[in-house]
Amino acid sequence: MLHFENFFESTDLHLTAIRPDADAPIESRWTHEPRYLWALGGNFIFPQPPSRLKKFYEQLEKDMDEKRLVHFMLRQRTDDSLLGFARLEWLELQHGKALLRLAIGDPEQRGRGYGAQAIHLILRYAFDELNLYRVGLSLPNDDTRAIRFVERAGFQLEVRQRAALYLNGQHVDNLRYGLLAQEYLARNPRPAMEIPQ
Amino acid sequence: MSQFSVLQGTRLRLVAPDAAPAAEHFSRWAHNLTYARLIDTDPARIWSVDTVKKWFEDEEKSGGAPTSVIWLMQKLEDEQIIGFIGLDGIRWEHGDTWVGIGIGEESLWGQGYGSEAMQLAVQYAFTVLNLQRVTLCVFEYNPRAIRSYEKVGFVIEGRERGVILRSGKRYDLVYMGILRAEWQQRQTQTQPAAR
Repeated sequence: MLHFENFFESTDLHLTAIRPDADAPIESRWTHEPRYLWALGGNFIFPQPPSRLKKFYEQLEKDMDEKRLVHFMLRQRTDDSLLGFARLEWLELQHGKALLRLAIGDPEQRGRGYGAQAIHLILRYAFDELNLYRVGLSLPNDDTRAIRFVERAGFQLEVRQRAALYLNGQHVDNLRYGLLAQEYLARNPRPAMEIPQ
Repeated sequence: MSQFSVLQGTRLRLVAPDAAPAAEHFSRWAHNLTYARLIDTDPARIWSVDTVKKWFEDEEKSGGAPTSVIWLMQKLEDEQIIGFIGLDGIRWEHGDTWVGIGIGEESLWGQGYGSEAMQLAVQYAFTVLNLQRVTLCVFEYNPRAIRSYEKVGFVIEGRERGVILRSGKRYDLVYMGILRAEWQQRQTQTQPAAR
């Protein structure tokens, strides 16, 4: 039987579709945390009610149809509970590039290695399924935990946008990182593929 | 300072566009592949007049987003429309905006119109909208534009590697930014007598 590495699944979590009715109330609570709202994207400024998130999900599906982005919800494999999301947006297939957004919504579920599993799943998808040349992402300069996390995954700092954000009464730089496929694959070689004889 | 001067320079003014005339210009400019490849990473698309007109009309109908504005660049001397410049993705809570410019008339490249339009737009962002930062990105293979933005005071803040693949070669996307404090300092340095 033909065997590919299954990059929809890791040890503890899997990439799934959005389930609007079930997910919206949960994610709505998470949007009341400013950092999560910031990570979610979608040009949101304020916490979002479930109905508004359902409209957001519809727009994500439309954008996926037009190949502008790819969005997955992250769920626990054990009980399918929602953990967060991973999205490749500003997708430009002709240039082989996308920007990554990824967040674990519940603070209790952070620090358990789920982020590390999720980022490897989405990067495998980016480089092995979408055949991207590079993935980029943006982080505020004061999010030291996230900075450590993306640098450990191999992202390189490329751009420092000075005083681009005003958070907690302070001007903070916006950092833009990039990871090239060749860099990622050098550190994370593809497993051998079994092909039936 | 006259109430009209903030969007008017020595050779150019920036004007709010009506859909129909703007669409004619945008469609004509889009037929120039060099222009298309300097303006956008999207595959060059030869926009029809009707498509552009509809885009402008949809913008007008929505009342205009409070997060963007677009102007046509008009020469004072003969009222010719030569290009566009706009602010987009304005984030009021951070005091930051993107700016994008395009001179559609190729015969007018390299004559300082871009710098003048950029100076007007940046001045508007800082003194009318009270923003504190303007951001842009420009393609590595457009050094004339990079020099033009540096003349206004933009600083290169980094490059995203190999973002653009065109004609078989990869090019970086160069990011630039200007802060209100450093722009204000440049104004007093270049025009001490004007204060």
